[in-house]
Parts: sequence; structure tokens; C-alpha cells
Amino acid sequence: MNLFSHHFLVFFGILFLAYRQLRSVTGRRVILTIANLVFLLTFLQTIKDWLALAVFLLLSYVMLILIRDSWKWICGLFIALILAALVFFRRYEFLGWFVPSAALHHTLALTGISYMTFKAIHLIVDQRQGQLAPFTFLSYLNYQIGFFSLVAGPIQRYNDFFQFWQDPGKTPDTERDGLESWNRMLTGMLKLGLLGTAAFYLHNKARELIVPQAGAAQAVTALLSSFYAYPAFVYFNFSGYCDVVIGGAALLGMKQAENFDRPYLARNMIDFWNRWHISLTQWIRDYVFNASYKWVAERWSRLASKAGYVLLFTALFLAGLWHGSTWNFAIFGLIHGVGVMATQIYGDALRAVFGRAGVKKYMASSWARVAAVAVTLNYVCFSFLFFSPELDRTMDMLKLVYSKVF
Amino acid sequence: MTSFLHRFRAMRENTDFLYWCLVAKTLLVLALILVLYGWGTENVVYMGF
Repeated sequence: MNLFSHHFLVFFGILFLAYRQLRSVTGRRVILTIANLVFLLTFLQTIKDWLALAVFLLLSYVMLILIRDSWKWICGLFIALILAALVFFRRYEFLGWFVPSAALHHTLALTGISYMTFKAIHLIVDQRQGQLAPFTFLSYLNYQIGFFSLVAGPIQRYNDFFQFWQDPGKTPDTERDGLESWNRMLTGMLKLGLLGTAAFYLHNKARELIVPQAGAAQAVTALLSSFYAYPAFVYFNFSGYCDVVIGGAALLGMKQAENFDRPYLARNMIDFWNRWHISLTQWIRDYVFNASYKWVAERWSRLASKAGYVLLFTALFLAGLWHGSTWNFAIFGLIHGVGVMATQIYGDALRAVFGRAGVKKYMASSWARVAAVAVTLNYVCFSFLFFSPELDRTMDMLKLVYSKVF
Repeated sequence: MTSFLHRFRAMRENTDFLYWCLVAKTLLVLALILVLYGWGTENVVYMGF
């Protein structure tokens, strides 16, 4: 179900009215479960897909119970199995090198598998560390398939969800809070339907103008239009989606994590990832970077600072790779991994040469800020050339413009 | 620009203004849905991971 559609407006309108009418905790939990299943029904349309979902959810629930019941030693194996499920359902192209191609050519589709994987790993690790709030099958099911974060995040943490699940009756405190939430939801829909669509239209039209018959000026102008329009589309589409789900969830009394904070004003790539898909960055930091850094530091403490650069690169490379199963996303991940690692190395070098006071002065300079934001913005826009799955078309386009100019 | 932002933030403090925003945005969203879905659903791109 597209969030910018009359279907979603009707779906959410009915849910909101029914939710407000029901006063009991059980009633509200039941109506939410039904809503989550109805939302899923619009994506999973074959019995095989539903069976795949049931197997994934049941197995990961059993793993969670086993870890709660003192099977802590097997945590690593469970995480590996969950990752294997992600790789299987996402059909990563590079797997063709390692596994028979038949394994990649199945027709099973599991909507939301990426976010369910993130949540499953978070649940297992936090349960192993004894930090997870109590769970039942119904709370687990609604946490995993909750339509507010199923398709494109944000990645909600279970303990935040559980706070809501315990008492799903707390709708917005004041009339103003309710108004703000409705407004945010509609702003998100306008970002999706108006700004995102316009940017995507501009990007497509610009690409159509990059043809062999075009002159150098036309080719360069069209390339630049597409270069900036596509990142604008991704931002409006994704942050619009998040505005809809954050506003909608707030109307039902659920707090979702914030996911964007003016990312194109970031002054370096680390800053960018602290502003872009924030819940993913926090997940990667907690469950990939911190976990692996701690593991290295405990064994080879002298290597820790150097290893930190490599682990930072790896974490962001994986974050980029996760966005899609085709080769272009590996390039996207590579660019972001290199960008974040270079930022860290540059920051450390600045501190070594100028000291903390010198770096503080440099950071306070408005000229340095404007230059840093411009460089970061263009670097990010360059990476988005590889976000579109049409890698061959992108490369042909770049070659054509290069041949026109030089 | 700064002055405009200050004035806009001050207006947002007014609950009536938020109601008017809500009405305007709702009408705009409904009109857009009519236009875009009439034009063809392929124009509404949807990303999911």
C-alpha cells in the first residue's frame, strides 16, 4: 500500500476512528494487530509468501525464547541464521559467485525483511545482554510487522515499543499535539506526492536529454539537473514517508524514532550519517561498529585506533550495501565507507596538527562551514548516481557527457 | 529570510493557524491524489527496502 494514496487515507482513517472508539487495552491491541495484518496483505499476495513470513517470525521468536531461557551461547549462530534469511530473500547479485544460481532465482518475496532482520538481531543481542523488556508472542508479532516501520523504517527499539504496547491508550495529550501530528502526516504526504514526484520527474526528464545528438552545454546542464534532482527525490520520498509514519504513530500514542535532521546541511560524511536515516546509523553503530570495535580492542588494544578506521569503513560499506541487492549498491556503500573513514582520518590529523583549540577555531569559521557543507553535499550527490539500479545507464550517461566535454 | 522564519514560527504558535494549515494540506493532498492517480500510478514512486 502506497502511503501517498487514497487507499492509505481510508485505511488510516478507519483505524484512527476505531482506535479512538475502543477504550480497552485488549481492544486496541486487537485492532492494531488486524491493521498490521491488513497492511501486510497488500504486499504479500501468495500463500507461499505468507508461509515464508510465518516461518521467519516463528523461528526468530523461538530463538528469542531460547536465549531468554539460558541458551546464551548460541546467540552467534542465531544471528548468522537470521542474516542468511536476509541474504536469501534479498537475492544479492554478488552471491552468484558463491552459491548455485538456482538458489537466487526463487520467487519468494518477503516485504519488510530488512527491517525485520534489524529488529530480530536487536532483540536477540539485547535479550542476551539482559536489557530487553518482557515480551509475548503478540507484542513480538506487532513489533515485527507494525506497519508504521515495516517497509522503510524508522528502526524502532523494542523497549520503546513495549512502553506503548503496555498502555496503548495514550493518544496525543493536547489538541495542539494532535494538530501537530496530523500536520506532520500531511506534510509527509506532500513531500512524497508533490516534492518527491516533481524531483523524480525532473531527474527522468533530464536523463532523457542526455543523448548522442545533444550538444555539450545541453548534456552538462541535463547531467547537473539529474545529479541534484535524484538526491532531492530520495530525500523527499524517504523523509516524507518517515513524516507520515511518525505523525500517524503519534496520533495513536506511539513514539517513533526521528530519522532525518536536515542531512544535506551536514559538514562531513560522519555528520551526514548522524542526520540521514538516523535510526539505521544508530543500529549500525550499536550492533556492527561498537560490537566489532570492542571485540578487536579486547584482543589487540594497540591496533584498536587503526582498526577503528577499517571498522568504520566496513560498517558504512555494509550500510550502503544493505540498501539493495544489485552491484550499484556495493559502489554506493564503497563511496560512503571511504567518505566516513576519510572524515575520521582527516579529523584526527587536524587534531594532531592544530590541537583541540585550533580545531575548535576552524570549526567555528563560517567560511570553513560553507565549504565543508558544499563538498559534503556534492560528494553525497555523487554517491547517489549509484543509488539508482540502472548502473549501465548511469555509466553510459557519464561516458557520453565526458566525451562531449573533453 | 530570518525575519520570515521568525514570523512563521510565531504564526505556528497560534492553534487556529495550525487548523488552517491542516485544511489547506488536506485539500492539496486530495487534489494531488486525484491528479497523480488520474495521470497514472506509475508517477508515484515508492521506495521500500
